[in-house]
Amino acid sequence: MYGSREGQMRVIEAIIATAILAIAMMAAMNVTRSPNPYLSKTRNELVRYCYDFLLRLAESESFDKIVFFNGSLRYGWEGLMRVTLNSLLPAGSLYNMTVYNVTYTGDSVQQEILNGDIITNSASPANFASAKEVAAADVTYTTRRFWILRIHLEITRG
Amino acid sequence: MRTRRVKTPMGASSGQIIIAATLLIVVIIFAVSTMVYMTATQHLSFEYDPSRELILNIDSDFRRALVRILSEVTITYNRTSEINDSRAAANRMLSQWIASTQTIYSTTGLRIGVSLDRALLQRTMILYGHSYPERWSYNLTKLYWYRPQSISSVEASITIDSAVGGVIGWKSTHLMLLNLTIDVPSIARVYAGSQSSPTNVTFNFSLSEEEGRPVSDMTTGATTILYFDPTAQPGVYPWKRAHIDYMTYNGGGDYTVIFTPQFYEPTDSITISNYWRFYYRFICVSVKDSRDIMVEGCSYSEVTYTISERAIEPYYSNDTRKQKETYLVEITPDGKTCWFGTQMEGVDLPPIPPIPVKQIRVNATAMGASGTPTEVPSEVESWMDDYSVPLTGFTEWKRRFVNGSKLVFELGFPPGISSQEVLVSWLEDADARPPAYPVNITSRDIGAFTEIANGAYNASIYARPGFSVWVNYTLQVDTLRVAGVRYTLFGYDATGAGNVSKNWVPTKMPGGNWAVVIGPVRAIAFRKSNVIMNPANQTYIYDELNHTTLITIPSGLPYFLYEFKAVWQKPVTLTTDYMTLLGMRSGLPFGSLQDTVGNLIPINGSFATNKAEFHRDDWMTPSQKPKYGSWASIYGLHGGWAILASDAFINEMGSYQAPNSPKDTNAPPEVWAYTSALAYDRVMEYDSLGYPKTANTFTPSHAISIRAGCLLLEGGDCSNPTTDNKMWVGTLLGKSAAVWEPMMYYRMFSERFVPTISGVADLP
Repeated sequence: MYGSREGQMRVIEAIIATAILAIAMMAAMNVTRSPNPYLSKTRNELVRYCYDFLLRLAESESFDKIVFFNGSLRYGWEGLMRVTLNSLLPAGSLYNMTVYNVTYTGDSVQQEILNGDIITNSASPANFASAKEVAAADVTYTTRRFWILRIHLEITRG
Repeated sequence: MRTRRVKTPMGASSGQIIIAATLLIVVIIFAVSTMVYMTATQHLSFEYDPSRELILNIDSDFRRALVRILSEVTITYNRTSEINDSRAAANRMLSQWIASTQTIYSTTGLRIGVSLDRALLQRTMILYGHSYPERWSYNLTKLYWYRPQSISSVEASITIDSAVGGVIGWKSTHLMLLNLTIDVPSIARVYAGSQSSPTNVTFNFSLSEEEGRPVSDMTTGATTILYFDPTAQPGVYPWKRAHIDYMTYNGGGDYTVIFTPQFYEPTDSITISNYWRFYYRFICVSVKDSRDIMVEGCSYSEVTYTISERAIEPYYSNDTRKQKETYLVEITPDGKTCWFGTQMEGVDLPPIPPIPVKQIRVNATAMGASGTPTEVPSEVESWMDDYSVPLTGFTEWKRRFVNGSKLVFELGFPPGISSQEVLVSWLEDADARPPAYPVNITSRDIGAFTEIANGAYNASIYARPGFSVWVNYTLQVDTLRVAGVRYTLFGYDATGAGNVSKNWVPTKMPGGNWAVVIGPVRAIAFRKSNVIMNPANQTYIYDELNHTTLITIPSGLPYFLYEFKAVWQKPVTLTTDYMTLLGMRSGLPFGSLQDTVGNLIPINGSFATNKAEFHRDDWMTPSQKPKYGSWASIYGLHGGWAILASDAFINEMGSYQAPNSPKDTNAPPEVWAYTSALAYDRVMEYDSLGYPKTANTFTPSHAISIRAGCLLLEGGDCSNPTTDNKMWVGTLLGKSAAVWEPMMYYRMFSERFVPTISGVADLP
């Protein structure tokens, strides 16, 4: 009888050891598995996306077309900018844009916020604070009337 | 017998070993897995450095800024015709961009530098017969305009160092341009349907950007075409903007344009036929591309022709005494070339396009038309649109050659030379400075007088007239050799000296202050007013006569030009004898004159020395009635002055001659020669409406026009002249060593002998 029990114990131990190894292997495989491509958009990629987005707007002279009308500031251009950003940025992403007018007086450079209204689709600043990934980019844009603008865009992934 | 197997320690430990080994393996697996995971995801914990994106953005915006700068420069220069302000603005904009960008990216560790380089735009070439030198882009912006092929360009390099991003010495060079090429041979007339005369003009032009990229989005709204309308009346600007009927894009940056000229005078068929024969080829094109960069071009870049004199050489061939035959040539935007207000006839002349005046240069030959033209001093003057009087910004160069502009230069004909070639051109480089010809004419105010010195004589005019114990309506001219000659200007109601109770000085004379404008080629003293002064009563009259006087004083030349134009404002009756048109007073002893127009035999005489004497006066017997010719002079041994009347002057004199006017047939116009009491004043004066007086009423329909040249003479002896107490009448009386000059030069101031033009070079 004893010999039979010992044999059974060996079998049980082997089974337990095999199970432990199998669980460990599965856990390790799960840990080292490649991330989901969509979920792999990291903050850095978001930063690049942010720059590329602003560059595309600049290349198409969108800032001239949105901010100015007949050489003067367009009344309510902030709303037009919101509409543009809402249509171009991925659904669900939050953005906050600030446009600065950079002036040069010969010995100093001043930056004044040009937009009188907030350019964002976020209901509350707290949404940005609670977002896991927030990226920002700053670009310069020289308008046809030689206003030098600094465009600051913050964006979160939806 | 049953035996019991005793559990040995050895057996128990072997099972534990398996478990322990298994756990060890598990630990190793987890450790390796964690290391792999950490390795795979370590980059996620890095702080991303966006240097690449920043540099791309800065470079992109730098390029954008350069385009804006070129746009600003071309638009401003197009508007102001002045490159310095445009260039200063460009440099300021570039500095602003650099400083602003540095500030914006100051926290990123970027270091931005900008340098201006030199880039070849175009090699030497010949296109449509036009020679083009090498064209370079440098000093930020460069504009080569007003040629069939014209270019606007901007060039600069940007360097960026990013210590954080590890990018050092990144450099990008940008050259942006807009190239306009007018296909000159393609300029052609279009015949609509079966019409025998043309109705439209067509031509091709091409546009390209940097690297030869064609511009494919040009619109008619951004294209301006100017054409020359020869039917424009004087005072109306002859260059008009064309209404473009069609503009077709042919691909490759090539466009075809058709426009219909709209003439000011559509019924002027002769002039319009001239347009279709000659003028349709002269066009200017300016375009503004979608980047707001402008460029201007013209279908031609110079005007060449020959001017031939006919006033002296045909009569005094190769006469070495001829040293004063120098004309003031005036060219207006319609291309009309004039001397002393009279157009030089001959052939149709190309108009001068509306280019900035600083671009214009005049070259002319000095020793005959077969020589090589060299640059001569010229000035572009600013006049009222009707060219009645100059404007205060007389030689202001920050403007275009538009209505009211006159291009003026001196053209001399030495002995034996009767033709000179003239080349009027305009420079292509917008950085061309206005020519800095020396101004040798000076002007200064001395009390109420203004004195103008032109290098040959000093002229002094009572520029700010007022009432005083003395009366002055003269222009005094002085040289070292002969001083104190005063030209008496227009006046009326001048009582004859024979009327012993009165003076022969006019009772009424034009008033108003004179203004003087000066350029390198000439000075002009002028007055345009409705003020008439009556010094005797010390009153002003404002409702009788509108008058304009111009006295043109060329630089360094021994003559001045007198022009007086006036129109009666209402019917005005002259109550006393004389109207004095132009005269001379001096203390010089001799006088000579042409007795009748065209009479080559002069009359010479001397003035009285100690008493009043009437040498020529209309109260003499009818057989002695003095007449008038084209010139009169007073002089001494060492110099003198002459009046050389134009045909207009002679005609004006004739308008007071019966039966041409209802004037007194007993008082024809005359050249009056007189020595005043105590012989202080010796007078020769072109007068009309002489004694005995008859009331003469003039209406606004009578316009007065007097033009004469007033020439400084060398002087000479008047041997055996008429004696003091005789009339200077009849034919040759005595001989004079001084009359050859007025006889040689008087035709020069006659409209009938104005130089002619020939040999206009055709467009390629």
